[in-house]
Amino acid sequence: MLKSGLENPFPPKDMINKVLVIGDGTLANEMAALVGAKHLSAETAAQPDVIVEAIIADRKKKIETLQSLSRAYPDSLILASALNASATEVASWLEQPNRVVGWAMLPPIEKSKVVEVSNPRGLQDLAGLDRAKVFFESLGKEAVMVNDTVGGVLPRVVASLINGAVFAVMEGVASPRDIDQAMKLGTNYPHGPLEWGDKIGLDQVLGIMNALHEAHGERYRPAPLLVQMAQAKRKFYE
Amino acid sequence: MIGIIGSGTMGSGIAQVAAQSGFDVILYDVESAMLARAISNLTSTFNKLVEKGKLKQEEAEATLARITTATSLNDLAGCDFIIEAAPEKLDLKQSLFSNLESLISDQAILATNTSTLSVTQIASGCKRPQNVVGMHFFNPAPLLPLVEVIAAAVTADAVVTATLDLAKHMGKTAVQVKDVPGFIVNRVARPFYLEALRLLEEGVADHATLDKLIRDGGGFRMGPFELMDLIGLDINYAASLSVYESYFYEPRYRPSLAQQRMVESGRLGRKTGRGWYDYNKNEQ
Repeated sequence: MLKSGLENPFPPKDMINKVLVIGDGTLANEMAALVGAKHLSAETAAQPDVIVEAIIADRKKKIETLQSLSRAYPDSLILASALNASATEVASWLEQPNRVVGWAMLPPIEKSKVVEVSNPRGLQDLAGLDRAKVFFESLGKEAVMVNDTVGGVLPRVVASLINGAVFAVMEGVASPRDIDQAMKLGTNYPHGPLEWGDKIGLDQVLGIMNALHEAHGERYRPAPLLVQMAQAKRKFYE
Repeated sequence: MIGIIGSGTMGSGIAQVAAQSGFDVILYDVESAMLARAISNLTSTFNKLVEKGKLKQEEAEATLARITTATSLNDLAGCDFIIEAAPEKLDLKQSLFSNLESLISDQAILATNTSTLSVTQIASGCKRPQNVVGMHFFNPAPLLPLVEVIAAAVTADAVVTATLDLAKHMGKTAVQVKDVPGFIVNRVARPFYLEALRLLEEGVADHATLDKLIRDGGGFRMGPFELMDLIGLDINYAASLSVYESYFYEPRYRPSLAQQRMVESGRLGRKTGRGWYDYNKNEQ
């Protein structure tokens, strides 16, 4: 059963109230801010109703953290980011696979109207998915169901765009500023791919590409410059 | 004096931009009938701008008067800058450029508006390849603010600088690019289409759901499938194939079988009434 909280003046239906957001980059920070702005409690001491995970750069840390949190909080719904692991894979790490729902968004999330959700393959129980939808709707995001895949939809498309733009920078095709300018004016992109990479975090983009590379092969090989930028903790625009 | 080769949509559009920026323009084409049609289209464009109050009548008349036409390359001998917007055929562009450079001054610049050919290869037939540069406008040229300036391996720095300056004088934002297939935009944009097509082929979601997630989740103006329908699936597929082949079959640019089948079936997008979406639904 979900526990009700004390602090929330506007309790959503199903009483999702205590939310634990854990992650290692902008996506987690933005999600924590959004949860806070919606008067959900991000208190960690008590049993959370929902654990929202966005550990993108380091898969080993993602596995360890999700395994330890799932033991510590046996009743919590686990929303695992699909950016660097499918929900199916995350479920395989845990003792109770039916507690896992995959989710995917990409910074900046504030203006985004939708969130991708997916069930682990073969799972018949849709209760977790229903609760995930209620949670995301309480944040003002429409949950759209997709078939489970590593990288999700939007993160795969945008990380591939950014990775390709980093290859172009590395090959001296044009300056980062000219590439961003060209993509905004020539194709109406909301952000230049390199400034978008900075915003998301280049370590996070690398985390998405590494996972796609492992799952799908050469087409998703991270640009060597992207690897180095992440290692050096640098941005294209300092 | 700016010479423009080719009076199709692109050539006329560039002529309009140049004339509106105060340059005298000579518009060249092989047939006078094509030129007459281009001038008549430009006249109605300027009339519409006057009607909308965006241009004064006398300005429109003066701008149109700055555009003259020619069916002989000899008439372009006095041009300082020539922009070629002829069909995308390498031998045609090479022969135009070698004919032109024997007529124009040693300092005059030859710019190609090619979007798929190598500027270096076009320049390779010239005696003064250092004066050849790429100047890639986007369609419709009068509306879209971007120009890619392509420095071929042999292009002189001063020629690149002069071309960047000319684009700025035309009110455009100019970016400098190395001579690589697809330049910036047509290369960097490929994953937007190709990853969406791959997700469709893998059965992650249908095209409408993918559009919604990418458009509304990422803040793009259009989803990849609706954008392909607008561009034309044949054009979009050909661009992917050209970039893929030009990069020696780099896997990142591998085209989509699903898209090839759509092209083969004649479902090319809005222009045929049906592409990924059906645009005839209301009429049935």
